[in-house]
Amino acid sequence: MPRWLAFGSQDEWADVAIFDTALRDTGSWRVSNRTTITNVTVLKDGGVVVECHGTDRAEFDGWMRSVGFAAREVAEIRHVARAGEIWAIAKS
Amino acid sequence: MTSDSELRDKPQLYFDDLAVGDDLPALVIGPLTPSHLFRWSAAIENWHRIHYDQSFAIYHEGLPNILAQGSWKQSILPRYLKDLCLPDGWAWKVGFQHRAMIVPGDTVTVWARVTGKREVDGLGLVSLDVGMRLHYGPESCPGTATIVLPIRGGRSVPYPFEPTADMQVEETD
Repeated sequence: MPRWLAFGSQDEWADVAIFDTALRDTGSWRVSNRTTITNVTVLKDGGVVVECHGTDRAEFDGWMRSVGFAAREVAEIRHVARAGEIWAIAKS
Repeated sequence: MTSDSELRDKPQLYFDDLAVGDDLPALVIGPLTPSHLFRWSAAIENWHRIHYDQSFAIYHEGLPNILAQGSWKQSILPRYLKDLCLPDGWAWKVGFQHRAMIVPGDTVTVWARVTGKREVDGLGLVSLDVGMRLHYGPESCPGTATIVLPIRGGRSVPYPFEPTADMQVEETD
């Protein structure tokens, strides 16, 4: 299953209360049965990094539009190290 | 969540009290947390990592998060029906499907609606549609159930309840 990182911005999410309201509920991050927003990181410089997995990139694009996230780049993930665990994501 | 004292002091639900189309009192559980899921895994010794290891669930299995166990759902619906029937009724049978996944953050509403009633051998058999609806819409466990309730002024539901042949035949019609 493809996984992507999107780099961009969403200015309102600098306010953690707004961020909470936007992303806490299951329906806000489970885009569909097959597409999930798995991580959203808001940076101090105003940047936002969003991680998503799914079978249809168009669903991710639709979610980004729906939340007002302006992506300047979207890249597919190859593998991940998470606190010492290595996860091979891409098949090649 | 229903407390022990609420169950002990619960007024009996009678067959006569219900009509087809009635919604029975719902049970709301949640929002669920990873601790709830892990506690269930520990209690029943279900060590599949999709139920407590978020990185494994997401990066290896491609799931949205860790998942509530099917066995948990299978415990909740019968418990809900049992609680509805207490103190003198009997939750006879329930069958349902596992559909929408339940993840931490979800709130589940366990519900039942009367779809049929029949009196057999002096007892009230009530057919129900049942389910576990997620707070944002999806139905996770659609199914059906049959409970046995006393009729006002009638005989007690035997303990344990054992269905007669007449009850079984009627049920399959």
